[in-house]
Amino acid sequence: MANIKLGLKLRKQLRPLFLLFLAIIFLLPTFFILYWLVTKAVETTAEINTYPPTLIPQTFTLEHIELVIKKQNIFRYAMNSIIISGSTTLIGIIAGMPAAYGLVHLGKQSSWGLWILITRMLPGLLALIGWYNLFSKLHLLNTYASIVLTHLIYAIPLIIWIMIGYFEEQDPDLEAAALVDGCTKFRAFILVGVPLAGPGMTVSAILVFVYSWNDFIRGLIFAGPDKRPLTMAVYRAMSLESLHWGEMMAAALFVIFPIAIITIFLQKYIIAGLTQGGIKG
Amino acid sequence: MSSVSDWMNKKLYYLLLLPSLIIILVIFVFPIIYTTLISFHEFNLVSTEKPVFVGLDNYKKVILSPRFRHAVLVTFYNLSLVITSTILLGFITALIFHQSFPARSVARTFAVIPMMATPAAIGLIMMTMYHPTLGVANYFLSFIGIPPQLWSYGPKSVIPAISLIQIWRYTPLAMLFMLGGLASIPEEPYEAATVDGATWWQKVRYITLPLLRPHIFVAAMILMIDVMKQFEIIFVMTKGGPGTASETINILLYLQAFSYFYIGEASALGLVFVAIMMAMILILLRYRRRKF
Repeated sequence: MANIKLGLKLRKQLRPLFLLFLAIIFLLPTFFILYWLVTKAVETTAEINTYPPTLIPQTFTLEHIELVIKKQNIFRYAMNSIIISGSTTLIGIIAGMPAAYGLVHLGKQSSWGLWILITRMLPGLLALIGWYNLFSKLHLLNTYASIVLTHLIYAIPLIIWIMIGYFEEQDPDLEAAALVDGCTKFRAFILVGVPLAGPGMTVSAILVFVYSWNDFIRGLIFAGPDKRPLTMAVYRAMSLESLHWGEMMAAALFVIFPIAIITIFLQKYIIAGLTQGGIKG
Repeated sequence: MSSVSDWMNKKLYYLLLLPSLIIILVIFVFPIIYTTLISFHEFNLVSTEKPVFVGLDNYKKVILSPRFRHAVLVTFYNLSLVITSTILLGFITALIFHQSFPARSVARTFAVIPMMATPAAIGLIMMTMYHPTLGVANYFLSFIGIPPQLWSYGPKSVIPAISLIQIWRYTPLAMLFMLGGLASIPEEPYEAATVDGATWWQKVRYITLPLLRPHIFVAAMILMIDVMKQFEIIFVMTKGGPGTASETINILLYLQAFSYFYIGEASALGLVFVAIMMAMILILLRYRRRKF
């Protein structure tokens, strides 16, 4: 009798550890990929190209990072990424947040939901083909404005989608009280709606920024040599020197590092945004 | 003066909506219409000839072309590998992360990283790992006695190799969807089942799975759309190669439009692609309605 009781108790204590073990197994590929990225970016080319590959770095060099900064001018790429992603996020929030507010107060948010699904379904390439043609005719091909424009195609529906979820959750009584007290609708919006939408704006801003930062295809199609985002830096590091993997890893480090930081420190918002955007679907 | 501001106040909600509406109309609706119009013309961006109206010719060309049919097969092959594995893995990991264990929130943070990590960069990193002679993937295989594979460098193995990356990337998304679903399942059925002496597996099979179906469904639909539209990973790794072994419909679309500049045909291809996606969604929705 005592043995059975002990056995059960032990199992109960071991269970969470077992789950942690399983979770770690699941996370191994992620850890390994990140580990690989970091170590190969700072190993010498000689070591990177050896077989069997070294799982523990034997050498250390900053030459790839230096090369990528000086020769590839990666800070220029980084600046472009910041400008493009930042502008997209800013414009998206300024336009999208009030739109979501208006939709919810008009009661039309479910028809919008259908619209969002449709825009999500359409391959971006369809609109991009049209834009490429237009931009090239108007000689607007290599401008920040046109690139940001192409980013807004997905950014605005996404922001509106997320914000609708947040506005729906807001307590309508607060606004009703404000209106009864003689506030105009506009003041009610500014003084009550906007502040309460804070977390929603944070969530959608983060998601849009990350998505924009990660974008590759628009950089490929619409950006000229001086406006290319970081994703292009990594791609070009690969194309130009096929086995100089060190450089490519160093460039990749620049792209992924900010995203890793954002994910680790702002994960609460990211997860909220992703589940919000999905479950209401 | 005040009547204008009164009017603005009354119509405020519409006014708030206006900027976004205009932007979306201009940015999105307009080019789609434009692309649709182009699809009815023979249009080569680099030739000096003017576009010629050809009606449905481009559509005929697209549907009859063997390259298109091949792309459809590639796309569905990729889709089937990714969706099944991702839903399965997502379900399992959701079950794990639904329980509490030490460092769970830290683990969850790292679990989300695959979704956020720049796909283009990940694709290139995996190129190095998949390299047949210098890559670490084959090195790991040698530990368990499997001979070196060509991974993304060989026509037969390229789709599985790419699918693996996509599974890694999208499992967290499936997991999050199902975690949300698991959170909404009440405790009572489980308690009753425990009283009846049900095993863990029986509980999962008869309580969890049925109640989770709608969430699995939503996850599958969103995944399906996202995987079909996948561009970056495949493009940076193989550009659709070797040959056309990894040429999905979306990759073909890009090549038609921006490599060959056959914009007319590309536009038609794009719309056919949309039609295919819509058809799949409708089929999925109909299937869902029958199950309930």
